Amino acid sequence: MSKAIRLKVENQDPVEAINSFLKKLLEVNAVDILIAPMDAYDGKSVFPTMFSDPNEINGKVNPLAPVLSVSYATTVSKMTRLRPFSKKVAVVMKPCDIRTLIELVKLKQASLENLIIIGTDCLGTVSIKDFKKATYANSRELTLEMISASFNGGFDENRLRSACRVCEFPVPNKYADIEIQLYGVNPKEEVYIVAKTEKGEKLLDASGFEIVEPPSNRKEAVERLVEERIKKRDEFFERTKKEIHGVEGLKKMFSTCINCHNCMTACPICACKECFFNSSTFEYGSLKYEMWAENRGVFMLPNDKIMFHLGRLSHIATSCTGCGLCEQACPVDIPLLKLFKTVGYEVQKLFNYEPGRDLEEPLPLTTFKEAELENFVGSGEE
Amino acid sequence: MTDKDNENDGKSNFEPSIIGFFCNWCTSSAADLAGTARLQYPPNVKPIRVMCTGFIDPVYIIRALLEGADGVIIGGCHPGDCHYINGNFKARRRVAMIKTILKTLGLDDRRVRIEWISASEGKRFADVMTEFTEYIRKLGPNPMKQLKTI
Repeated sequence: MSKAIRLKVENQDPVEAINSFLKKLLEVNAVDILIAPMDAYDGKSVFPTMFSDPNEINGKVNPLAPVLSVSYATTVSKMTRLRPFSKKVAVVMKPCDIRTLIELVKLKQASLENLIIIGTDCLGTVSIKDFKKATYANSRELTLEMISASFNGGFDENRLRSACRVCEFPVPNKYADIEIQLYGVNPKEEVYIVAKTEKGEKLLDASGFEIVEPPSNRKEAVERLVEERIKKRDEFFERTKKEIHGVEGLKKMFSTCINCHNCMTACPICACKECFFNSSTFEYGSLKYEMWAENRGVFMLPNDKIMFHLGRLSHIATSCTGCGLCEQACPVDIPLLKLFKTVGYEVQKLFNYEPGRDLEEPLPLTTFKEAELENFVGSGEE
Repeated sequence: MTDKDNENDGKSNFEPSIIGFFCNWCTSSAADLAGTARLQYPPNVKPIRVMCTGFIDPVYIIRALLEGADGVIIGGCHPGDCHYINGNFKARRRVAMIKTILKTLGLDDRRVRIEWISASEGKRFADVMTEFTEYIRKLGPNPMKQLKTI
């Protein structure tokens, strides 16, 4: 039915095999520019990198890098917000990045025109801070360790970012043109590149690799994994609701916040050029502060912390894809993902909406039905 | 579900402070009508006129609660009557969202309410404001007032 390429893996290193495929795409001009993860100079982080010269790729790309330093959706948004790509550009993205990019397209912050999305199965990611501290020479070492562990066990899940531990989207959605598949095969021996759209099929045809059938037992493997993750996610929701409960919960949650707005900067959905919370609305002048101090008897600064987080939550909850970059960006390690994923899920359920699921589904707060949500009007007791 | 500790029997001298966001075309006119008809309603509700309920950013509601309002009431045109065609439908979605957020966080979503009150419903305006004020009086003070920072 659909087309696939089987890459034979040597030395148990699928990264090398995928490199050869990506290099080929540039060599045969199937794509003009490739955006893919590459290690930083010191190998202590991984960043989206643009390649036009195939010879630059030679083993340097790590599409499976278990590190998400910045959002690839934001990266694409930055490049295409004003004008879509005119050249054929392919970007390697993790499943959460793809869903986020779809939200950004709906928010009119990015364009999919001339863009080819190469989705990868995601192993989960470790935080940039942990990766920097660890002793790996480069991201590939960690990748291989994780791939090995996912088959033999032995990789401590707690090393992953909290977002990845409870992520129910380990594989790309329908917006990936081609998928780099790890689940359902043994990536120490083989990796499949599978076309999911017409654009993807053309790309595989052009690459000159032998076209084969996609692997057959992927579906079960993915279903099993998703089921496991959903279970973990639901347990996580239960725990979170107990932990962040009422005013006491909020106090505890944000007591260490320094109001730096790093979470907002890192959040791919927070795409406003001028954030409401940085506006003069929140410049009060001395009278207001005097009033706070006198009314409450005690008033700790900086203020507007809970307000900023709850406000930001109300602005993005419908589109939050749970990537957890807010949490990764926090200098005082506030577990923001707990708040955003749990509340996001409830709000999205209310509107029967799933961020990144479908370009045709309107953003919940831009639309309405005439007859709906009646139980939220009035005392709700009629 | 939440403010149990703060619920009182209404005997104390707690006077709720309630912020009202009323649409210019319907509920604000209803407030005027209640006034000209000399209908009594509690002075606890502090009205803020907005052009349309669709104009209300959820942050306004959060901010009112964090600043210590015991209740927030939003008054708009009945469905289908919005001066701006569909602002009240959008407001209904936002209120539903903010109530869901509050509930998920174990905060009291009953302190936020949206009501449809048309320009001719002066009596209903007075009734709703009286009822809501008494309702909040029973719930007791907003626990967010105790926050040492907001």
